[in-house]
Amino acid sequence: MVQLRDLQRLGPYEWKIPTSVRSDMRVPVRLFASGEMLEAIGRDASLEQAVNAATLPGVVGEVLVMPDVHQGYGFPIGGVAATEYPKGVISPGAIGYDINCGVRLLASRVELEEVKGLMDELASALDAACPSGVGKGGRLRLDEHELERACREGGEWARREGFGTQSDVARTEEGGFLDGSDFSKVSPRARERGRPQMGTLGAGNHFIEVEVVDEVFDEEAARVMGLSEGCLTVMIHCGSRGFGHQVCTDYVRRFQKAVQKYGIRLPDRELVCAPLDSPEGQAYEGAMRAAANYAFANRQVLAHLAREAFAEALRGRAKNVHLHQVYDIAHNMGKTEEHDIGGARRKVCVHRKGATRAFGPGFEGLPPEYRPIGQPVLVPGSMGTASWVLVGTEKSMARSFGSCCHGAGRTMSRRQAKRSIHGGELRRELEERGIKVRAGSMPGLAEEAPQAYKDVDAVVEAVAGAGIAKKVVRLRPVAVVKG
Amino acid sequence: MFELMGAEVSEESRCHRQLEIGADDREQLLVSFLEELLFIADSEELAFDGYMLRLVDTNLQARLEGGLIISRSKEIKAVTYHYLEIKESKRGLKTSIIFDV
Repeated sequence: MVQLRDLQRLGPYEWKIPTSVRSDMRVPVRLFASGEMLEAIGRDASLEQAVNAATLPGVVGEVLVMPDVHQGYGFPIGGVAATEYPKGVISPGAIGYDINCGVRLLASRVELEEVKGLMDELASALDAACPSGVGKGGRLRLDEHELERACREGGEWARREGFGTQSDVARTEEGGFLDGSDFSKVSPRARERGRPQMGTLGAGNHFIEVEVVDEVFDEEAARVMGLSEGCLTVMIHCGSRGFGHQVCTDYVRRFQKAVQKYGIRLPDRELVCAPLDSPEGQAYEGAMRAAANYAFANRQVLAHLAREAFAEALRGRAKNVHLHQVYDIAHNMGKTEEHDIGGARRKVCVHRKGATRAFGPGFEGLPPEYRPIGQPVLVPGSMGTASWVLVGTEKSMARSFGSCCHGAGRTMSRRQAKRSIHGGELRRELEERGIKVRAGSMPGLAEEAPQAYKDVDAVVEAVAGAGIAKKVVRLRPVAVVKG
Repeated sequence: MFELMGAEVSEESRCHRQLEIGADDREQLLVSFLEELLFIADSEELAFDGYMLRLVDTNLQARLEGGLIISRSKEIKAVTYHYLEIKESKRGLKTSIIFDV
């Protein structure tokens, strides 16, 4: 069992677990966190899981752990591992069941003060416009051909269907679609689950939140992103719904055999994997990219619905009710990238599970206006607490495969949270603080209570302190719609 | 699993299903069986509360009784192999299994 005493301090926000801690580790683990955060991190099995990830065949550099880390299934949530092409492996468990779960931020010029009395109406309008809840389908019913197009074209498919603008697509990670998706590698079951769920939020920790820009830390970056102090924004958190869950399920099952075929020994069955250049690895990569594109399209449709509801609720009450897109970012994904590792440029598959990409200034894949400032990084807090907009840095490219944290990170299991927090009381508390709440279920609300999460401000301090991201603005919630 | 989901099942629309599942080992069989139930719940809105199970090595024959889901409070995304354990006990087989929610 990995212990906190196995950590070597590299600096105020960086720690290392050397390969000497366990004989099967191929690379060390680097943790980004403050000293104060260690106790909470050591309470669950997340460091053990990071060490398990360091045993994956073909893993290179270091396995990285973000300060919002918590225990996942096989691979820690808040973990990053790069495996080298072509012989390294790809692991569905290191990407997650909700493939391309991510966050989109829309911003407006509407000042909260202008429309303060309308937050109830706005919350209801967003709740009515954006289908949410367990297993719920939406207004779209895709046939096989449309589903295939959505899985190939991602955000661009949604835009062509009338959901959103070219600017939305341009301001999405990878331009809203991953090349190399392979719909033929997606099972009939995944297709069946995906057809009715396009344009839906789902349940669990997924949400739509109205937030106000509370404090600006980087005036220039905020100006470029169109974020003004006191103005309203809308944040959307969701993923690939049942489609992605089924793709991951299918390949975790299929890879149980692949590990035997390729003689791969693993400390946890949930980490099953296959070489990137194997037929199994290639099939998963193609299906995973299809699910990633489904998620980009899903958030694009939801953003359009949210934008219409926002404008409808505030029209005539504020001057400019348009919501423009700041950025859309994935935090459960496997990406083909090139990085400098051990003094050489190497092509790798970067698994990010509960971790975002955070590329620094100058990256060509960014929209031209963002190249001088770096890639926006969206970090939602827990319900009722702050969220953050950061940017990637040169240091993130050198130290974390251009990666950053994705949120606050749980400290309490959902069951614990439900036992100790009452959903109705929590709702009242949030409303007393001026946060309007619309929730599918009260027990579901309790599971996502802020007490069940780490302090997102401390998480952001740690990544900023380590230099892998830079603060741009802090957002404060004023209305929450929970699935 | 259906209890965890908070699934409320209609008493009026009762139905039966038969499943036959084979796997390489017991753990895989359990995961495959639950995945099957999860898929039926998501695609047909059916949950089961009556089970007749016949287990021979790593093959399972199941006769299920259930009904339409009226409501459910929690989404289960997937059945995982994480820390999956099946033990023999005096009362039969006992397992600890983790769901992605």
